[in-house]
Amino acid sequence: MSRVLTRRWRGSVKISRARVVMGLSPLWALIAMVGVVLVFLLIIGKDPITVFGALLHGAAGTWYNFGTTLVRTTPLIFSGLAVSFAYRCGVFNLGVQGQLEMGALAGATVVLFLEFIPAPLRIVLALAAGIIAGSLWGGIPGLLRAKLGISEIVVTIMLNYVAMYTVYLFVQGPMKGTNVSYPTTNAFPKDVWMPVVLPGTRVHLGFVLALLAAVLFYVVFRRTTVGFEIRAVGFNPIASRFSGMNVPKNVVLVMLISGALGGLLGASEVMGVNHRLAEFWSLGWGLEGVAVALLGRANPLGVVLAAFLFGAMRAGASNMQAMTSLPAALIYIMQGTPVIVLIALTGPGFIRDFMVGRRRKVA
Amino acid sequence: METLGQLFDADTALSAFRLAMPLCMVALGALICERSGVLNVATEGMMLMGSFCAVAGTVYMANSLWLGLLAGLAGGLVVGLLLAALTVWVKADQVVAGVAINIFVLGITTLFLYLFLVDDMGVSRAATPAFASYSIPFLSRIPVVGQLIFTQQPPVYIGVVITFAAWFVLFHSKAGLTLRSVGEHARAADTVGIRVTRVRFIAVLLGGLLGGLGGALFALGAVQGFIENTTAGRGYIALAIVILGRWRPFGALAAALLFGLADALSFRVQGLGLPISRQIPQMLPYLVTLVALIAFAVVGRARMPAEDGKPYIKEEAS
Repeated sequence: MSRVLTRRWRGSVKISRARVVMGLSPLWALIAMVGVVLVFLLIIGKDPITVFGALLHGAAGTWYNFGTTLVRTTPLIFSGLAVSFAYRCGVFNLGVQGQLEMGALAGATVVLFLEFIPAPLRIVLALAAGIIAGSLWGGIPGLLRAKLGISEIVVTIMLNYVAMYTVYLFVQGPMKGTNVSYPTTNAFPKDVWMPVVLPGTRVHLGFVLALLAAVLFYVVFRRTTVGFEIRAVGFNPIASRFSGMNVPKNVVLVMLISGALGGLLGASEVMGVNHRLAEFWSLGWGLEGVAVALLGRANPLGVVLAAFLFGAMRAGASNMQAMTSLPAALIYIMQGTPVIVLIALTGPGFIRDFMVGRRRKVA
Repeated sequence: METLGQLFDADTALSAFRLAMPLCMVALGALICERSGVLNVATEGMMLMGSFCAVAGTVYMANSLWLGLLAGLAGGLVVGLLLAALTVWVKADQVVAGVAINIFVLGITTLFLYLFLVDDMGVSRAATPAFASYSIPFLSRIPVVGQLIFTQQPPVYIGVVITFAAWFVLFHSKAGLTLRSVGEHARAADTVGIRVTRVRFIAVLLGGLLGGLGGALFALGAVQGFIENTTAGRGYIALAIVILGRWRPFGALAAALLFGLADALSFRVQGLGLPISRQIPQMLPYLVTLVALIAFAVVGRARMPAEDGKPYIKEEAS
């Protein structure tokens, strides 16, 4: 009796040790990130306290700055969710960048050319147009993979560049504004800006939509058969096929939904922050979304938290650049390092064996 | 008609070779990895790091292009080491690891560009001289062909030699057979005493070297400088080249020439000042890649190495 108890007790200790090591891996990843940045700053001879202080002040020093963090968080939640949604089905959507460009283009078209529609309705229509455009653009790689077996990785990246140049083509030609000195549309009229939701900041309705999308994401995967099927296909496509699931259909479906999130990102961002569509208007949200999804482990709460972290870095970066004359690109190592460390920690090989102790041999 | 003549003149052909060779090198690197069973998606990162190190190396080492080239190789090797650690040791999902590395390298090269090559006024000195072209004696006197193929910058010749070498080693040497056996059936290879992990590790390092070389050739030989995200998806185009070249070195060379031509035409059209928006030629390389992938998938697919992309986890002894 007592022997059983001891064994159980020892067993549970073992599990908890594994939990501490692996379950908290995002935490270790962040600690590693701070460590790497510290070492880096010391090497190039900058005072870490000044640098981190400037970053923090830019990200949360004032109410307005905190608002900027949420503004920067918004697109990253969308793109992180978009990447995660496809990833749950085993599909790598590296094309959020293209999908958001197309979404922004469609949204801007509605805003600028359908002036006869009253403003609040026009915002809704523009968001819908963004969703549809992004969804169709995302559907292309989905269809190519489902029907022809072409890897979505290359296709999505190629489509990113095509989409980007398409936007540039339009803002330089048919959509170019009057009296503008660089390729851009006219500024959107104020009544079609996304409404601000936090007074005293620039945080717009898109932030609320992004949080709603995260909740919806959770519900789809926890409570619906659609979500279950997507996860099943992602987990084991062959077994799913034999149990009667339509694998190609699911691949196309997740890309349509993932693209829709990207399109919504684009439309919400041009109407909420830029208030015009211009050449080089977007930041690299698409790829950052991949990092966010990996760090958030493709789960909605994780994605929101990771997006918040990255958003805070983005918001803090410009203040840091102004105060310390370090390039804002410093935040890129702060974004890349934890993702790499997390992958190293959670992979099934070397490091896990080392940290958790070798798994028991199969008898 | 006159414009067409301008588009397809000797200059375009020359720059097609110059732009094809980097792609071919990166594709060869990816091909070697895939033949050993590691799907190398980090090609973009390897190429970008190679480009950056080559340019930084050249600028910091007395404008010596050859030293820059070596620096580019070293840069690619470091990225290869990272990918090898993540995929072969950690056995992480190879696509996830590759994509994460690409994001990481894009960030780090951008940061280093601003730290080391752009001054406080925002003026960049990330520009390099060009390789002088070298005419191979006698052969370069052959009409037309001589001018096109045998009057190139030295890196182009190096690329051709490496392609031959890759073909020979992969298909006519014991090392190549070992490598391919690991990529086709890792467990069987393991059973006959081949160290799967070691072979894959070396393959990925080679992939890193070739990726870095490709990046260096692109930066030094084709565009003579470095800007943020200078490779702009060419590492991914190299992945398409591996597929179109049916996982064979000469196939890759042929496919790379197609994309080199697309790239060259793209630059050429932008330079001619034709009355079309510059974005249309800029899209060309990406559209060509898409169309080629689709056409290839419709006409008939080649078989990829059986264990491409699968981490090898050894069964523990019972």
